[in-house]
Amino acid sequence: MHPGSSLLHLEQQVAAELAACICCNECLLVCPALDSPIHIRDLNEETMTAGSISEPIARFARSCYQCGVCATARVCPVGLHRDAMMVWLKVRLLRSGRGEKGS
Amino acid sequence: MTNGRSHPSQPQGRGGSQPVPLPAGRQPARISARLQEEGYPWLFASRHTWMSLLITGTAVMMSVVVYLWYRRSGALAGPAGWLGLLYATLGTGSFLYALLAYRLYRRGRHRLRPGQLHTRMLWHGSLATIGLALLLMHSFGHLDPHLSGTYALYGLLVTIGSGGVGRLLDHVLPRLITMEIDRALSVRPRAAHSSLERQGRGVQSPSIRAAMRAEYRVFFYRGIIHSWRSIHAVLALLTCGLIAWHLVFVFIFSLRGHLTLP
Repeated sequence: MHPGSSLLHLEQQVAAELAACICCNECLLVCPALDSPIHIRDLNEETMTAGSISEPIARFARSCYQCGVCATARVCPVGLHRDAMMVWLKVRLLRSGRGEKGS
Repeated sequence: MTNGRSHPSQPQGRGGSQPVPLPAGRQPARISARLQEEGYPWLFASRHTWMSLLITGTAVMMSVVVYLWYRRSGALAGPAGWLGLLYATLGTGSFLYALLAYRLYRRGRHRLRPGQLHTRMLWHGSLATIGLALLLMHSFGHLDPHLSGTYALYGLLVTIGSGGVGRLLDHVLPRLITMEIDRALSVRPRAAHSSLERQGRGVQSPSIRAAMRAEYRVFFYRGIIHSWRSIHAVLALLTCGLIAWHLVFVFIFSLRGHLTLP
């Protein structure tokens, strides 16, 4: 795959990884940006569901600073990239701020 | 939310997967528009961040008030005075606690609950800032280049300054990453797909070049985030060495009788 094309397929990658998530919560446990407990099922659901993003999830998405701790092999037992999922949420927040719906 | 999920503030059962049923006759609270969040501003701070800033500011202000009162009282205004030594002890303790507690807490993640690491990180920043303020006052302006403490103080300034810059980068760079990815994703899917095909035949379209540029920039920004954290850790270790050198120096100095407590 071409280097630039991985970004173009971010949505598909996130959808596939969300389907593979076993909701063990390990990524949230090691996250230094998460300021209040949220449920991983809510996070997964809101990451892909079109529409508004709830306040705790939006706050978490903005606070995520892409340190990548959650995506290291010793954290996620199934080798998923939570940081990519958070980027997708960030993109959705950015677009919603511009008034783009359905992102 | 309109997808039938539980309300974010609704109590969760053990394990969090099943919502606790509400008492008979009670309806779930309507989700107000306030709960729906939009936009990604450049600068934002959580309630916890404001609280930590308030605690840090109060602690620093209180120590400054004591410092000013002490200077007006005419007592020995130097690092070896009783207030100087008190500030040295508290400041070094704060700095070392900020350093060690966060490192140890991160490693022992089996004891963590979601959100606790963030609180620890806020304490990490607060205690380090309070420690710096106390140690600056401990010096009482004696910044002689021949003193080991001066180097320890400079080390502290650089380390805590790098932590502050790191926090700023943690706000700005992820947003730049998001903007780059958004720009790359704004390429029309059909055009991107056909250009990928063309690229397979040796033709590279502007849309693919733009996506590649975005990916390189994202890689660069992530590199800054990761390397800045390493630089901060190295600086903290160097500062620990300088503090240890200063403490050994002071200990030897006091053994020789050159340092007398008031």
